[in-house]
Amino acid sequence: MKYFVLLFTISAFTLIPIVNVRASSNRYWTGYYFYNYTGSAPWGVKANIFTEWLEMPMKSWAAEWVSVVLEYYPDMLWIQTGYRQFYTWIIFPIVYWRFYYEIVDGNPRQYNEFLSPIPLVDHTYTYAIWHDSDQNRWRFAILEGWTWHKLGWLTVEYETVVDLQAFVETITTQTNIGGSHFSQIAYYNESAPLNWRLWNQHDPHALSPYSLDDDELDYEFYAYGGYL
Amino acid sequence: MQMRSKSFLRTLVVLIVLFVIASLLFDLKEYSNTSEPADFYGTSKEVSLEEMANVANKFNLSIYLPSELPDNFELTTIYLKDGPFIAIVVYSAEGNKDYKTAELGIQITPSDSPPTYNELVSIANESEYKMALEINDWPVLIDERKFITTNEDFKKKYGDYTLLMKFWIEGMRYNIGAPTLNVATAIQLVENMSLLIL
Repeated sequence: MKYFVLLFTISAFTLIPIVNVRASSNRYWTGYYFYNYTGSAPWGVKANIFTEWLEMPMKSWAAEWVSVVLEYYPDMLWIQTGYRQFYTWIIFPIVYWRFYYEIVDGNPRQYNEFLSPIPLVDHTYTYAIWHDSDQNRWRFAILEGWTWHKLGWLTVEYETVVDLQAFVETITTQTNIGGSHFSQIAYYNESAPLNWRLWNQHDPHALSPYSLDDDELDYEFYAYGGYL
Repeated sequence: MQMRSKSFLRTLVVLIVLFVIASLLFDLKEYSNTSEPADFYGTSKEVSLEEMANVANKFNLSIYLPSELPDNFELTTIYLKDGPFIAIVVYSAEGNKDYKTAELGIQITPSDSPPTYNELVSIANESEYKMALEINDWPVLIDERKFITTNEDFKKKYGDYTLLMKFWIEGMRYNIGAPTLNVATAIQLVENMSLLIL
Protein backbone atom coordinates (compact mmCIF):
# COMPACT_ATOMS: atom_id res chain seq x y z
CA MET A 1 0.00 0.00 0.00
CA LYS A 2 2.86 2.33 0.96
CA TYR A 3 4.50 1.70 -2.44
CA PHE A 4 1.23 2.24 -4.26
CA VAL A 5 0.68 5.66 -2.67
CA LEU A 6 4.28 6.70 -3.34
CA LEU A 7 4.30 5.54 -6.96
CA PHE A 8 0.85 6.96 -7.63
CA THR A 9 1.88 10.39 -6.32
CA ILE A 10 5.02 10.41 -8.48
CA SER A 11 3.10 9.27 -11.56
CA ALA A 12 0.27 11.75 -11.02
CA PHE A 13 2.74 14.63 -10.93
CA THR A 14 4.27 13.37 -14.17
CA LEU A 15 0.85 13.22 -15.82
CA ILE A 16 -0.47 16.66 -14.77
CA PRO A 17 1.63 18.68 -17.30
CA ILE A 18 0.41 16.35 -20.07
CA VAL A 19 -3.24 16.96 -19.18
CA ASN A 20 -2.58 20.72 -19.05
CA VAL A 21 -1.23 20.76 -22.61
CA ARG A 22 -4.54 19.27 -23.70
CA ALA A 23 -6.64 21.78 -21.79
CA SER A 24 -4.92 24.73 -23.48
CA SER A 25 -5.13 23.29 -26.99
CA ASN A 26 -6.64 25.39 -29.79
CA ARG A 27 -6.41 25.68 -33.58
CA TYR A 28 -3.82 27.54 -35.64
CA TRP A 29 -3.90 27.51 -39.43
CA THR A 30 -1.04 28.62 -41.66
CA GLY A 31 -1.35 28.49 -45.42
CA TYR A 32 -3.49 29.51 -48.37
CA TYR A 33 -7.13 29.97 -49.11
CA PHE A 34 -8.04 29.81 -52.80
CA TYR A 35 -8.64 33.24 -54.31
CA ASN A 36 -9.83 35.24 -57.28
CA TYR A 37 -12.05 32.87 -59.15
CA THR A 38 -15.29 34.02 -60.69
CA GLY A 39 -18.35 31.81 -60.53
CA SER A 40 -18.83 28.93 -58.13
CA ALA A 41 -15.66 27.41 -56.67
CA PRO A 42 -13.88 24.56 -58.51
CA TRP A 43 -14.73 21.01 -57.50
CA GLY A 44 -11.29 19.74 -56.55
CA VAL A 45 -7.91 20.58 -55.07
CA LYS A 46 -4.45 19.01 -54.99
CA ALA A 47 -1.00 19.82 -53.66
CA ASN A 48 2.42 18.33 -53.09
CA ILE A 49 3.16 18.36 -49.37
CA PHE A 50 6.58 17.67 -47.86
CA THR A 51 6.41 15.32 -44.86
CA GLU A 52 8.10 17.01 -41.96
CA TRP A 53 9.21 15.85 -38.50
CA LEU A 54 7.59 18.71 -36.59
CA GLU A 55 8.77 19.54 -33.08
CA MET A 56 5.77 19.61 -30.78
CA PRO A 57 4.89 19.19 -27.11
CA MET A 58 3.90 15.80 -25.76
CA LYS A 59 0.30 14.75 -26.39
CA SER A 60 -0.34 16.93 -29.39
CA TRP A 61 -0.68 16.63 -33.13
CA ALA A 62 -0.32 18.65 -36.30
CA ALA A 63 -1.72 18.14 -39.78
CA GLU A 64 -0.86 19.29 -43.29
CA TRP A 65 -3.73 18.99 -45.74
CA VAL A 66 -5.83 20.20 -48.66
CA SER A 67 -9.58 20.78 -48.29
CA VAL A 68 -12.63 21.30 -50.43
CA VAL A 69 -14.97 23.48 -48.35
CA LEU A 70 -18.56 22.50 -49.12
CA GLU A 71 -20.14 25.15 -46.90
CA TYR A 72 -19.10 27.87 -44.42
CA TYR A 73 -22.53 28.64 -43.02
CA PRO A 74 -24.54 27.74 -40.97
CA ASP A 75 -22.23 24.77 -40.40
CA MET A 76 -18.77 24.29 -41.88
CA LEU A 77 -18.71 21.18 -44.09
CA TRP A 78 -15.71 19.80 -45.99
CA ILE A 79 -13.69 17.00 -47.57
CA GLN A 80 -10.03 16.83 -46.58
CA THR A 81 -6.94 14.71 -47.17
CA GLY A 82 -3.37 14.99 -45.93
CA TYR A 83 -1.16 13.64 -43.20
CA ARG A 84 -1.10 14.02 -39.42
CA GLN A 85 1.82 13.71 -37.04
CA PHE A 86 1.16 12.61 -33.47
CA TYR A 87 3.43 12.84 -30.47
CA THR A 88 2.02 10.76 -27.68
CA TRP A 89 2.91 8.73 -24.65
CA ILE A 90 2.22 5.06 -24.17
CA ILE A 91 4.69 3.89 -21.49
CA PHE A 92 7.35 5.80 -23.45
CA PRO A 93 7.05 8.71 -25.89
CA ILE A 94 6.29 7.86 -29.51
CA VAL A 95 6.01 9.93 -32.67
CA TYR A 96 4.06 8.61 -35.62
CA TRP A 97 2.58 9.79 -38.94
CA ARG A 98 -0.60 8.80 -40.73
CA PHE A 99 -2.28 9.48 -44.07
CA TYR A 100 -5.97 10.25 -43.72
CA TYR A 101 -9.07 11.58 -45.39
CA GLU A 102 -12.13 13.07 -43.79
CA ILE A 103 -15.68 13.84 -44.93
CA VAL A 104 -17.91 16.21 -42.99
CA ASP A 105 -21.04 16.60 -45.11
CA GLY A 106 -23.74 16.96 -42.46
CA ASN A 107 -23.99 13.22 -41.89
CA PRO A 108 -21.93 11.50 -39.16
CA ARG A 109 -18.31 12.56 -39.54
CA GLN A 110 -16.19 10.07 -41.52
CA TYR A 111 -12.53 10.15 -40.49
CA ASN A 112 -10.29 7.48 -41.99
CA GLU A 113 -6.71 7.12 -40.93
CA PHE A 114 -4.57 4.56 -42.77
CA LEU A 115 -2.38 2.17 -40.81
CA SER A 116 -0.55 1.37 -44.02
CA PRO A 117 1.26 2.77 -45.88
CA ILE A 118 2.64 5.41 -43.53
CA PRO A 119 4.03 8.78 -44.65
CA LEU A 120 7.81 8.80 -44.60
CA VAL A 121 9.64 11.84 -43.26
CA ASP A 122 11.47 13.92 -45.91
CA HIS A 123 9.24 12.51 -48.66
CA THR A 124 6.87 14.64 -50.74
CA TYR A 125 3.43 13.21 -51.46
CA THR A 126 0.68 14.50 -53.73
CA TYR A 127 -2.75 14.72 -52.11
CA ALA A 128 -5.81 15.22 -54.31
CA ILE A 129 -9.60 15.36 -53.94
CA TRP A 130 -11.85 15.88 -56.95
CA HIS A 131 -15.41 15.40 -58.03
CA ASP A 132 -16.31 12.48 -60.24
CA SER A 133 -18.91 12.74 -62.97
CA ASP A 134 -21.54 11.08 -60.77
CA GLN A 135 -23.34 13.55 -58.48
CA ASN A 136 -22.39 12.23 -55.02
CA ARG A 137 -19.13 10.57 -56.00
CA TRP A 138 -15.75 12.09 -55.29
CA ARG A 139 -12.26 10.66 -55.62
CA PHE A 140 -9.23 11.06 -53.42
CA ALA A 141 -5.63 10.08 -54.11
CA ILE A 142 -2.34 10.02 -52.26
CA LEU A 143 0.72 9.36 -54.39
CA GLU A 144 4.46 9.85 -54.51
CA GLY A 145 5.74 10.58 -57.99
CA TRP A 146 4.03 7.93 -60.13
CA THR A 147 3.49 5.53 -57.21
CA TRP A 148 -0.12 5.49 -56.05
CA HIS A 149 -0.38 4.89 -52.30
CA LYS A 150 -4.12 5.41 -51.98
CA LEU A 151 -6.85 5.91 -54.54
CA GLY A 152 -10.47 5.69 -53.58
CA TRP A 153 -14.07 6.73 -54.08
CA LEU A 154 -15.85 8.91 -51.58
CA THR A 155 -19.59 9.29 -51.24
CA VAL A 156 -20.35 12.87 -50.29
CA GLU A 157 -23.97 13.77 -49.77
CA TYR A 158 -23.59 17.40 -50.61
CA GLU A 159 -23.85 19.19 -53.92
CA THR A 160 -22.03 22.47 -53.53
CA VAL A 161 -18.47 23.75 -53.16
CA VAL A 162 -17.69 27.21 -51.84
CA ASP A 163 -13.91 27.32 -51.35
CA LEU A 164 -10.57 25.49 -51.40
CA GLN A 165 -7.81 25.49 -48.79
CA ALA A 166 -4.23 24.25 -48.29
CA PHE A 167 -3.00 24.54 -44.71
CA VAL A 168 -0.71 23.47 -41.91
CA GLU A 169 -2.83 23.04 -38.77
CA THR A 170 -1.57 22.86 -35.19
CA ILE A 171 -3.30 22.74 -31.82
CA THR A 172 -0.64 24.66 -29.90
CA THR A 173 1.77 27.45 -30.83
CA GLN A 174 4.46 25.32 -29.19
CA THR A 175 4.55 23.25 -32.40
CA ASN A 176 7.39 24.34 -34.67
CA ILE A 177 6.21 24.14 -38.27
CA GLY A 178 9.49 25.34 -39.81
CA GLY A 179 10.24 23.46 -43.03
CA SER A 180 6.59 22.87 -43.99
CA HIS A 181 6.41 23.12 -47.74
CA PHE A 182 3.39 23.01 -50.08
CA SER A 183 3.95 23.13 -53.85
CA GLN A 184 2.05 22.71 -57.13
CA ILE A 185 -1.21 23.69 -55.43
CA ALA A 186 -3.86 23.25 -58.11
CA TYR A 187 -7.61 23.31 -58.63
CA TYR A 188 -9.64 20.82 -60.61
CA ASN A 189 -10.77 21.90 -64.04
CA GLU A 190 -12.15 19.32 -66.42
CA SER A 191 -11.18 21.30 -69.50
CA ALA A 192 -7.55 21.87 -68.43
CA PRO A 193 -4.66 19.59 -69.51
CA LEU A 194 -4.68 16.60 -67.12
CA ASN A 195 -7.69 18.31 -65.47
CA TRP A 196 -5.65 20.48 -63.10
CA ARG A 197 -4.66 24.16 -63.11
CA LEU A 198 -2.17 25.78 -60.75
CA TRP A 199 -3.61 28.41 -58.44
CA ASN A 200 -2.97 31.81 -60.00
CA GLN A 201 -3.87 33.86 -56.94
CA HIS A 202 -4.08 33.09 -53.26
CA ASP A 203 -5.26 34.51 -49.96
CA PRO A 204 -2.51 33.91 -47.38
CA HIS A 205 -3.37 33.28 -43.74
CA ALA A 206 -0.99 33.06 -40.77
CA LEU A 207 -1.36 34.22 -37.20
CA SER A 208 1.53 34.94 -34.83
CA PRO A 209 3.82 33.15 -34.04
CA TYR A 210 3.40 31.52 -37.44
CA SER A 211 4.34 33.06 -40.77
CA LEU A 212 4.46 32.29 -44.48
CA ASP A 213 7.04 32.74 -47.18
CA ASP A 214 4.66 33.45 -50.07
CA ASP A 215 6.45 36.20 -51.98
CA GLU A 216 7.09 34.34 -55.19
CA LEU A 217 4.31 31.97 -56.18
CA ASP A 218 0.56 31.59 -55.82
CA TYR A 219 0.82 27.81 -55.84
CA GLU A 220 3.65 27.28 -53.37
CA PHE A 221 4.57 28.30 -49.82
CA TYR A 222 6.88 27.55 -46.93
CA ALA A 223 5.54 27.96 -43.38
CA TYR A 224 7.53 28.90 -40.29
CA GLY A 225 7.20 29.65 -36.59
CA GLY A 226 6.22 28.16 -33.26
CA TYR A 227 8.60 26.92 -30.61
CA LEU A 228 8.71 24.49 -27.75
CA MET B 1 12.76 -8.66 1.91
CA GLN B 2 11.79 -10.85 -1.06
CA MET B 3 8.11 -10.32 -0.19
CA ARG B 4 8.68 -6.56 -0.21
CA SER B 5 10.26 -6.54 -3.67
CA LYS B 6 7.48 -8.79 -4.99
CA SER B 7 4.91 -6.38 -3.64
CA PHE B 8 6.81 -3.45 -5.13
CA LEU B 9 6.96 -5.13 -8.54
CA ARG B 10 3.27 -6.00 -8.44
CA THR B 11 2.37 -2.40 -7.59
CA LEU B 12 4.63 -1.15 -10.37
CA VAL B 13 2.99 -3.44 -12.94
CA VAL B 14 -0.52 -2.40 -11.82
CA LEU B 15 0.43 1.28 -12.10
CA ILE B 16 1.96 0.85 -15.54
CA VAL B 17 -1.21 -0.89 -16.76
CA LEU B 18 -3.37 1.86 -15.21
CA PHE B 19 -1.37 4.61 -16.88
CA VAL B 20 -1.35 2.87 -20.24
CA ILE B 21 -5.17 2.67 -20.04
CA ALA B 22 -5.40 6.31 -18.90
CA SER B 23 -3.07 7.37 -21.68
CA LEU B 24 -5.12 5.53 -24.30
CA LEU B 25 -8.32 7.08 -22.98
CA PHE B 26 -6.80 10.57 -23.15
CA ASP B 27 -5.64 9.77 -26.69
CA LEU B 28 -9.09 8.69 -27.78
CA LYS B 29 -10.57 11.89 -26.36
CA GLU B 30 -7.97 14.12 -27.98
CA TYR B 31 -7.71 12.41 -31.33
CA SER B 32 -11.44 12.21 -31.87
CA ASN B 33 -10.99 15.98 -32.14
CA THR B 34 -9.78 15.76 -35.73
CA SER B 35 -8.40 18.42 -38.01
CA GLU B 36 -10.68 20.92 -39.70
CA PRO B 37 -10.47 23.73 -42.26
CA ALA B 38 -9.92 27.37 -41.33
CA ASP B 39 -13.11 29.37 -40.83
CA PHE B 40 -14.54 32.13 -43.02
CA TYR B 41 -13.08 34.95 -40.89
CA GLY B 42 -9.61 34.11 -42.22
CA THR B 43 -10.51 34.82 -45.84
CA SER B 44 -13.26 37.46 -45.66
CA LYS B 45 -13.42 41.20 -45.11
CA GLU B 46 -16.07 43.01 -43.12
CA VAL B 47 -17.83 45.27 -45.62
CA SER B 48 -20.83 47.60 -45.88
CA LEU B 49 -23.94 46.88 -47.91
CA GLU B 50 -22.70 49.31 -50.55
CA GLU B 51 -19.30 47.59 -50.84
CA MET B 52 -20.98 44.21 -51.27
CA ALA B 53 -23.31 45.65 -53.93
CA ASN B 54 -20.30 47.08 -55.80
CA VAL B 55 -18.51 43.72 -55.84
CA ALA B 56 -21.71 41.98 -56.96
CA ASN B 57 -22.12 44.54 -59.78
CA LYS B 58 -18.50 44.00 -60.84
CA PHE B 59 -19.16 40.28 -61.32
CA ASN B 60 -22.67 40.86 -62.69
CA LEU B 61 -24.34 39.05 -59.79
CA SER B 62 -27.87 39.79 -58.59
CA ILE B 63 -28.18 39.84 -54.81
CA TYR B 64 -31.50 39.58 -53.00
CA LEU B 65 -31.95 40.47 -49.32
CA PRO B 66 -35.00 40.56 -47.02
CA SER B 67 -36.86 43.85 -47.20
CA GLU B 68 -38.60 43.24 -43.86
CA LEU B 69 -37.04 41.66 -40.79
CA PRO B 70 -38.79 39.88 -37.90
CA ASP B 71 -38.09 40.08 -34.15
CA ASN B 72 -36.32 43.48 -34.22
CA PHE B 73 -33.42 42.00 -36.17
CA GLU B 74 -31.04 44.50 -37.74
CA LEU B 75 -28.23 44.09 -40.21
CA THR B 76 -25.09 44.01 -38.05
CA THR B 77 -22.40 43.27 -40.63
CA ILE B 78 -21.41 41.50 -43.84
CA TYR B 79 -18.38 39.23 -44.33
CA LEU B 80 -17.33 39.07 -47.97
CA LYS B 81 -14.83 37.17 -50.08
CA ASP B 82 -14.86 38.53 -53.60
CA GLY B 83 -13.47 35.54 -55.49
CA PRO B 84 -14.94 32.98 -55.39
CA PHE B 85 -17.85 35.21 -54.30
CA ILE B 86 -19.05 34.25 -50.80
CA ALA B 87 -21.01 36.65 -48.59
CA ILE B 88 -22.36 35.99 -45.11
CA VAL B 89 -24.88 38.66 -44.13
CA VAL B 90 -25.42 38.82 -40.37
CA TYR B 91 -28.60 40.00 -38.61
CA SER B 92 -29.17 40.25 -34.88
CA ALA B 93 -31.38 41.91 -32.30
CA GLU B 94 -28.48 41.79 -29.83
CA GLY B 95 -25.96 43.64 -31.98
CA ASN B 96 -24.11 40.34 -32.50
CA LYS B 97 -21.64 40.47 -35.41
CA ASP B 98 -20.40 36.89 -35.06
CA TYR B 99 -21.81 34.88 -37.97
CA LYS B 100 -21.38 31.68 -35.96
CA THR B 101 -23.73 32.75 -33.18
CA ALA B 102 -26.01 35.52 -34.52
CA GLU B 103 -29.77 34.87 -34.57
CA LEU B 104 -30.02 35.14 -38.35
CA GLY B 105 -27.49 34.74 -41.13
CA ILE B 106 -27.59 34.44 -44.91
CA GLN B 107 -24.77 32.87 -46.91
CA ILE B 108 -24.84 33.89 -50.58
CA THR B 109 -22.78 32.06 -53.21
CA PRO B 110 -22.98 31.58 -56.98
CA SER B 111 -24.69 28.43 -58.17
CA ASP B 112 -24.09 26.80 -61.56
CA SER B 113 -27.12 24.56 -61.64
CA PRO B 114 -30.03 25.25 -59.29
CA PRO B 115 -32.19 22.22 -58.52
CA THR B 116 -35.73 22.01 -59.83
CA TYR B 117 -38.69 22.07 -57.49
CA ASN B 118 -39.30 18.37 -58.20
CA GLU B 119 -35.73 17.51 -57.19
CA LEU B 120 -36.27 19.37 -53.91
CA VAL B 121 -39.52 17.47 -53.35
CA SER B 122 -37.66 14.15 -53.57
CA ILE B 123 -35.04 15.44 -51.08
CA ALA B 124 -37.81 16.66 -48.76
CA ASN B 125 -39.47 13.25 -48.85
CA GLU B 126 -36.40 11.77 -47.10
CA SER B 127 -37.23 13.45 -43.79
CA GLU B 128 -40.29 14.53 -41.86
CA TYR B 129 -38.51 17.78 -40.98
CA LYS B 130 -37.83 18.78 -44.59
CA MET B 131 -40.21 20.60 -46.90
CA ALA B 132 -40.00 21.78 -50.52
CA LEU B 133 -41.75 24.95 -51.65
CA GLU B 134 -41.86 27.40 -54.48
CA ILE B 135 -41.87 31.01 -53.35
CA ASN B 136 -42.02 33.70 -56.07
CA ASP B 137 -41.03 30.91 -58.52
CA TRP B 138 -37.85 30.26 -56.52
CA PRO B 139 -37.19 26.64 -55.46
CA VAL B 140 -36.97 26.54 -51.65
CA LEU B 141 -35.90 23.72 -49.34
CA ILE B 142 -36.68 24.05 -45.64
CA ASP B 143 -35.03 21.88 -43.01
CA GLU B 144 -36.72 22.51 -39.70
CA ARG B 145 -34.16 20.50 -37.72
CA LYS B 146 -30.81 20.81 -39.43
CA PHE B 147 -28.18 19.13 -37.26
CA ILE B 148 -25.13 21.31 -36.65
CA THR B 149 -21.98 19.17 -36.84
CA THR B 150 -19.04 21.49 -36.29
CA ASN B 151 -20.06 24.98 -35.12
CA GLU B 152 -19.41 24.54 -31.37
CA ASP B 153 -20.16 28.19 -30.49
CA PHE B 154 -23.58 27.84 -32.12
CA LYS B 155 -24.28 24.59 -30.27
CA LYS B 156 -23.44 26.20 -26.92
CA LYS B 157 -25.95 29.00 -27.57
CA TYR B 158 -28.81 27.26 -29.38
CA GLY B 159 -28.30 23.51 -29.09
CA ASP B 160 -27.66 20.99 -31.84
CA TYR B 161 -30.26 22.09 -34.39
CA THR B 162 -31.19 25.09 -36.48
CA LEU B 163 -33.85 26.04 -38.99
CA LEU B 164 -32.17 26.06 -42.40
CA MET B 165 -33.65 27.40 -45.62
CA LYS B 166 -31.94 26.94 -48.96
CA PHE B 167 -33.17 28.67 -52.07
CA TRP B 168 -31.93 29.75 -55.47
CA ILE B 169 -32.52 33.10 -57.18
CA GLU B 170 -31.02 34.18 -60.52
CA GLY B 171 -27.85 32.08 -60.41
CA MET B 172 -27.20 32.56 -56.68
CA ARG B 173 -27.70 30.12 -53.82
CA TYR B 174 -28.92 31.34 -50.42
CA ASN B 175 -28.54 29.54 -47.08
CA ILE B 176 -30.55 31.09 -44.27
CA GLY B 177 -29.74 29.91 -40.75
CA ALA B 178 -32.39 30.98 -38.25
CA PRO B 179 -32.25 29.09 -34.94
CA THR B 180 -34.81 31.35 -33.24
CA LEU B 181 -37.42 31.59 -36.02
CA ASN B 182 -40.34 29.31 -36.73
CA VAL B 183 -41.11 28.01 -40.22
CA ALA B 184 -43.94 30.48 -40.91
CA THR B 185 -41.76 33.51 -40.10
CA ALA B 186 -38.87 32.11 -42.12
CA ILE B 187 -41.15 31.63 -45.16
CA GLN B 188 -42.29 35.24 -44.80
CA LEU B 189 -38.64 36.30 -44.77
CA VAL B 190 -38.07 34.60 -48.13
CA GLU B 191 -41.29 36.03 -49.56
CA ASN B 192 -39.93 39.48 -48.74
CA MET B 193 -36.59 39.01 -50.48
CA SER B 194 -35.98 41.85 -52.93
CA LEU B 195 -33.20 42.78 -55.32
CA LEU B 196 -30.44 44.84 -53.74
CA ILE B 197 -30.19 48.15 -55.59
CA LEU B 198 -28.01 50.94 -54.20
